[in-house]
Amino acid sequence: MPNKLYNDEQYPTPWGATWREFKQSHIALSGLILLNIFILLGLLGPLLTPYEPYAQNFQSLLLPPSWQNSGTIMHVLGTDSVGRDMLSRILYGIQVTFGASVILVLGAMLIGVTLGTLAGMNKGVRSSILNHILDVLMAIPTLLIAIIIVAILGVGLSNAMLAIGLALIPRFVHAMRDVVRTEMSKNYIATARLDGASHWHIFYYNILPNLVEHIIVQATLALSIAILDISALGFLNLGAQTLLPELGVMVREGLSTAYIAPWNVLFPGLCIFLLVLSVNVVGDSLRSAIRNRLTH
Amino acid sequence: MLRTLGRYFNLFFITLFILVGLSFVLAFFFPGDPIFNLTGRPLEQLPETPYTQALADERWLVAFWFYIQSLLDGSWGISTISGLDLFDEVSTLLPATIELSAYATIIALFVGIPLGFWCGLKHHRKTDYTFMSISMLMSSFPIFWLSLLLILIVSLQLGWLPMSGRLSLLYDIPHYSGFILLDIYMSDHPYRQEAFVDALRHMILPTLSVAFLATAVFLRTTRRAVVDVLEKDYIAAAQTRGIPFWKIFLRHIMRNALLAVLPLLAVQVSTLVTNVMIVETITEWPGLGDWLIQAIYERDYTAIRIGMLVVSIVVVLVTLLIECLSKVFDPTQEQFS
Repeated sequence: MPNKLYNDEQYPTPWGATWREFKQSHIALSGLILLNIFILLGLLGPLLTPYEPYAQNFQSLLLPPSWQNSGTIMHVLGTDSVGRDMLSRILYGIQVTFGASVILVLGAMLIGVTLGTLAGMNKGVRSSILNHILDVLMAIPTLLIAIIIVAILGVGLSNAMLAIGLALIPRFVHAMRDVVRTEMSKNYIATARLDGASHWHIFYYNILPNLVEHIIVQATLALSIAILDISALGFLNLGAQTLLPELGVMVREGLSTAYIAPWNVLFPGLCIFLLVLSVNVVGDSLRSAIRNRLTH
Repeated sequence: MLRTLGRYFNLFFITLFILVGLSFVLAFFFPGDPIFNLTGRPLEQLPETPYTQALADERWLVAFWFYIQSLLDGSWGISTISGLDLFDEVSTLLPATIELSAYATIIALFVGIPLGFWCGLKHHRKTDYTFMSISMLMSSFPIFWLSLLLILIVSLQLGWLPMSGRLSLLYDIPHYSGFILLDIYMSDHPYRQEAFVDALRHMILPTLSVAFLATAVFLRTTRRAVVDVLEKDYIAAAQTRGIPFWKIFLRHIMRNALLAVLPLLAVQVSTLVTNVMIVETITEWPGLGDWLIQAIYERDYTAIRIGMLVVSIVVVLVTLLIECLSKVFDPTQEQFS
């Protein structure tokens, strides 16, 4: 507001209020910072890495991390069994794992929100059938869907993404359906109806603004599931293949030398753990911030 | 209530039919000959039955009818890699998986739910924040990494517990029910006591890694439900009447919070099964998950088809059962729309 002549009472926007609640908590802020660091590393990773992720160096096999006695500062987090630099591979791995998860969550979100809104706005037999089928689909474990997709289409990162995306869609549909249904029963929708608004109008101008927060909360939940599942499929050799520096794949490769070089298992796993933790902290804090805003 | 039960009964059978249909259709999507994928043998080696006749004539709808019959008979075909009968394989493997999941769930329930109640009652205090942070850390662990870390530290470095498997090869326990503890109890092996301890020692690591994640989820779910119940008007009403706290807790808080927890647990079943399958492959627990993942490595399509069918039926059955129970117990829940 440029003109503060009058002592107008200012009401923060919903997002402003949510942010005000969000930054109350130190844990939430540190989670957000960590997540932003991961996003930056994912975007800029290839520019920062000192080595190519595929570059093998037979002069330095299985070097320990630099803080141990026999480690060198040339390889800060050590090297793996064919002499590839751990730090470079992890930076590339963040890009692959995190990037793939974000893309698949966005795809699942788009389809899931559309279907969920349709299921929530419609009533009757059609909607009921859709709901039951989706509830049943949600009960089928991700790993099973992934196994079937791998059996039909073969292994690969994109097939793993497809499988996890398929498993995530019902979650979005389920959550969106419930929210849309409660919104549809409120009075402002009835008012809009009486004004002669079409279905599309009601969706776009009345329901969607109320839906955005729920979509974001669901997306953070889905993102943490997606990261865990993508790396698990990579670990099981059902997702990304050996050459790609994906974090789960790196854990599997480190396994063969786990006894003499435990850092090859430790660091990629720790990276997945921190990535999931930051997403979980941000998602959980966002949820409680929204809840606090609504109750205050 | 009867109506609810009837609806769930219907829903289960429709789902069962869809899943069986899916498993039939999958044989056509998998690479190779669909008849080979369905039975595990090429057409020439099959015995002359109406089922094989229908398959040979490509009358697929009739074949599907016979396929359902063969599933009910227990003639599920043979594995394309090992040539073993799939029904026997699955019936020895399924109890191991159920055993692992059941013990992990029981541990998680008995640790997670009481802690969740405690945190909920003390919410927004120090104990609550501590346990919430710990459970946040716990639920962020990738299951395969957690299981590997436990094996690396407890088995390799400290040498306290065995790394993999279900029972030491020294003990030859006859197969009876498939549940190892029950089998050992029923057998008349001279070293029954030692075998029992050995089986328990093998069980600790896989069970704990699955229970670790489930506990965190149960804790958070229960705590949320308790906090929601505490904010209700009837709690305030009971307090103003001067009812002692333990009575309010037993009568109002516990009942209502547990009702809210139940449907949320139904959502967790599929996650639990995924985790169990991953832990089985790492610790070489001889269960259905390990078998299924080996089958996909070897492209054993008959095994994948049957494994997928069995696992999804079990998961759907358990999920629907929990949902049905929560609907029956809790009349305030939204009925079928």
